[in-house]
Amino acid sequence: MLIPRIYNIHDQAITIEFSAAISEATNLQVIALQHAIESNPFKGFIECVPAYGSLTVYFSEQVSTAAVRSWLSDLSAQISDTIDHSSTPGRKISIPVCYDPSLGVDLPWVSSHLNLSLEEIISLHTSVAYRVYMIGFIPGFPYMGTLPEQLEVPRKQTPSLKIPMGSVAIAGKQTGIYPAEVPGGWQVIGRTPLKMFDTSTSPCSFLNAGDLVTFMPITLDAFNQYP
Amino acid sequence: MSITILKPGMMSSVQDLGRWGFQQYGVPIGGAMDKVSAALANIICGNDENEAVIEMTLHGTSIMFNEAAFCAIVGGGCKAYIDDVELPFNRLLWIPAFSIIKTTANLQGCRSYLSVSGGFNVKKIMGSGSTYTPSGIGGINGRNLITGDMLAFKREQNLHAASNLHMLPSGVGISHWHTAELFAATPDVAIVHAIKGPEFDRFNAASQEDIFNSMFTISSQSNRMGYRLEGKKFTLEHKAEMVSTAVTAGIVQVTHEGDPIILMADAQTTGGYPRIARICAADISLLAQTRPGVKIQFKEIREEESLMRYNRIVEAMKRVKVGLSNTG
Repeated sequence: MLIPRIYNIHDQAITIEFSAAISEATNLQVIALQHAIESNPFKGFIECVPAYGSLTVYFSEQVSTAAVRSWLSDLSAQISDTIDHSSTPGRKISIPVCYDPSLGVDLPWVSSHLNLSLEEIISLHTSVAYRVYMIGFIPGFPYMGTLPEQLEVPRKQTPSLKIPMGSVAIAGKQTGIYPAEVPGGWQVIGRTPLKMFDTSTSPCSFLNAGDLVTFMPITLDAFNQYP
Repeated sequence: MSITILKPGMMSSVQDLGRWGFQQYGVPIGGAMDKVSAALANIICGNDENEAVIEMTLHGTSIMFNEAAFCAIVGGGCKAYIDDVELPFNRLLWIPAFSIIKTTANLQGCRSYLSVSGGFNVKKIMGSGSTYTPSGIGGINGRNLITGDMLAFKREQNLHAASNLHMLPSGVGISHWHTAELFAATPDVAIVHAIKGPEFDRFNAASQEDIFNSMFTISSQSNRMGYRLEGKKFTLEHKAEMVSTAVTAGIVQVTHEGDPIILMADAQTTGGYPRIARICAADISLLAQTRPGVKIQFKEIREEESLMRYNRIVEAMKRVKVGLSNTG
């Protein structure tokens, strides 16, 4: 096992970084550590933020930085042998997506850039299950991977000023869903009628790091009639 | 039992000490930019330090008290008046009914915090009253305050307590005591203590030298999410893609164009830019009180000193609380 790098990002927040690359095995380790901490929190623990290859822990002045550092390092070494790489730590979720070009506004560009038909794009995008590596950027935005290699496209040179809520987009090896109307640089290929972020639900984010997501194509009619 | 915003001024919003516990879902901590001043304003009023307060950026704010109330103003960036009576900061104030507090320009500081005794009755969204405008969460309908907004008090004011104050002929009451200034905002050069960031070693020699040895100016392109800095540009020794990881207020990240940005209260939960430095947590309030156009210089300190400085603020806050509870 690699020795993780441990550093402060704040006087009361410490990051434990297993890897600076995107890997499923590392992300499983991150989420296993998050679950281990949350199920048995130390005195002064506030919250965890999982990312691709790192976990950040926020804590209060009730505990010292030195104590959290050594505790994190010990705990991560302890659990590294117990991680089950064949199972998923989260839920398995199917998300309906309408791939109509009126909603997936970048489909024509993606199609000509990759030399793939619309049907081929849909079939590729729905062909695999995606791991939710982390939620970030804006509330409820899932970073998911890994996209089939044939679907890899660059980000937009100039980000779009407004990407509609629910837009399903791709960039590099990743796919994501915009939970609100915001500026963004990923290529939009469809839209889901599901709400990805809602302050009145618990948790507020539809997806969590560790979930496994598949996309299910729906027609424009089905999208419009979605409750 | 309420106040009415007659003019929001440059920018005013409802804030508390932040929305904690939801960063794993991408929800920023947010809250007051200068959390030390926001907490002090509450402590002076006898409130829990996490009560919602009004954050007023610079000046031009005008607030009507629809009933008499106790309040406190802490921070900087403005002077506060009722007619021609200047209201002191850091003291408990008694404001007669139908008084209007107006703020005017002050060269020192950037943000002031108005608390009322008992707190404002603001609906909590995910445990916090803080306004986070990018997602339209918290405060009043998730937006900054506008003319006509009314904020109700949580409880009746205790009229008898006013007898301990120095009463002016206008009916305004001012406490004899005041709380200590825990840090001093400066109009010229702010010295900000900082530690090498997680990606410091990835920058070239000139950049590593420049971060702690040159002067930067806070750009007018700064907001509650972050301060853009003008000055030297920074370059990585080897360009390499960064994978997103958690970031927070005080992180100094460098954009692809080489410009440094200090993340502030409304910082995103994660980011993918290399981080050349991080600000000592004790100096974030000082930065929040440093306005665009002011120069800043980073002074390198070790982690241990950063912690010590932070603990000093925590201890000072505790002393203020104990001191005030003894004044009765």
